[in-house]
Amino acid sequence: MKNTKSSLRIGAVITGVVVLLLLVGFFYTPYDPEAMDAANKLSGISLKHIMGCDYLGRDIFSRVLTGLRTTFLMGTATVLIGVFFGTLIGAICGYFGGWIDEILMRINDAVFAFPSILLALVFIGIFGTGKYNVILALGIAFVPSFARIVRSEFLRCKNMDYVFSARLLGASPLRIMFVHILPNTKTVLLSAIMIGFNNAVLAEAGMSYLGIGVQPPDSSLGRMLSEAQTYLFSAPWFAIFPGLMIIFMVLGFSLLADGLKK
Amino acid sequence: MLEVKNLNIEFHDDSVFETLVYDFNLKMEAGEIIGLVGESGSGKTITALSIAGLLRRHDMKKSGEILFQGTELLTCKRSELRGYQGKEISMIFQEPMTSLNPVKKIGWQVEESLRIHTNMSKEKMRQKVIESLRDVELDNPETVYNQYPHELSGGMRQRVMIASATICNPKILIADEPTTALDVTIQAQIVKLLLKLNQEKNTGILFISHDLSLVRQLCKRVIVMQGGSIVEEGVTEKIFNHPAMQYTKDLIAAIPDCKKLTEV
Repeated sequence: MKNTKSSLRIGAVITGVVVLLLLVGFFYTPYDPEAMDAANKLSGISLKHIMGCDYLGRDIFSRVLTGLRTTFLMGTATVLIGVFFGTLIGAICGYFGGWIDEILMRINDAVFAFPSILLALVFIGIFGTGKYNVILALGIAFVPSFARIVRSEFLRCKNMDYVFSARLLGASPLRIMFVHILPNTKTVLLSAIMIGFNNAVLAEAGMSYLGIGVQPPDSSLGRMLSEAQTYLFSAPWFAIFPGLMIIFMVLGFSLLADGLKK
Repeated sequence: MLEVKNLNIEFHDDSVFETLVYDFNLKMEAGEIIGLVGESGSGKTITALSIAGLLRRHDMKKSGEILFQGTELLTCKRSELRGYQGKEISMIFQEPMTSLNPVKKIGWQVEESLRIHTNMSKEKMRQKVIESLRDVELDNPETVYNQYPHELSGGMRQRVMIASATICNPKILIADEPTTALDVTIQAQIVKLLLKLNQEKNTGILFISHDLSLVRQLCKRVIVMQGGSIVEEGVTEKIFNHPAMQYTKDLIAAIPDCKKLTEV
């Protein structure tokens, strides 16, 4: 009991700090995140540049602030797509069952069988690189897991007495699905969303690292990591700070999800 | 008003057919209370569910007719059926602990029927709900309105269920063992409440129970079911005093009697 409370609290604090930094990034960055400065190329941590500079002399702290925003928005958008379609498919499959369930779930299984990164790579191979394609690709890759979770919850709920009473009141199937049953899946769905968000952040970072996500000069945490790779030993701060930011973001949300589950 | 003719219900589990209800007939006038008794598994509940239109249509076979004010409920459009459900035909269940949605407030749940069948404004609905919560004799209906189901006792929840089922003044209320899960004092109150509803609003009640003494007090007519078919039906007093069939005699003999028990 005490454990879950503290994980909720720590998670909330870490997430709060990350979100605060993100919001700050909208209004203020110490330097222009895209301004290059040859004199400060790969300069270390100093009072002027608290996280140092990258290989083009750009201020890493400024880039982390804006990169955090990109990564966060992409994670959120991905999860939103996944949750929206996943809930829709899962609800229909779980509530109606029968042949529609069979068809949708088999398609679902087929999508699920591909690793999400691979699916996204294929998608990008067809439609080209870019932020929005990555979001769409990852979103589609995320649909099956949400669909399964929602479906099993609907299967659990659909034979409950309160669903019977709702049907008895003359509520339409859509109303029963989304007004009566969906709120009951809240706890499970919420922690699935948190975990999904973490996976989305990691997947985005991974894809940007591979060079197919966010395109320069835009910054994202994954992109920065990939740029820092060459300088891992000569300028470790270049990789450490974006990496730490990803870790904090994921850790914060994991703890939060863990705390909310109870 | 309600007429059930030769209702047969058959379920198919893969390819095996099983008939659960044979040739069920029922005629119910407005404001009548009819008792439906029988042991567990005799088909009472399945009959009730089919009258309420709650059985999923595709995984079973039905024949016969259920006529409500001339409309055939078994074959009419689903949307038409939904128009009757909750408005004209309502049902309360045996288990009040699970028949309320755990994540919604009581007020919202009682309002649901109004929201589906009428175009009332929010404030009007609220007033109507509080009024009907008062009608089912809940203390502090304003407080109950904002409570969640887990904050209420079993008896209170059953009252809420009754309020929710009757808020649109249905013509028929199917009560599927509404008192079985409650303790005896609450049982009496709920039965009184049903009687009051019947008298004040002229709601016809199909009272399903295996509590024969309760049926005897409440119902004018009674139908006895066994193994899916009607064994005997008629005026309650007549059946209780002069049961024609052996099964009915056995049922009546099964009522616990304190005198007999002490003699043994």
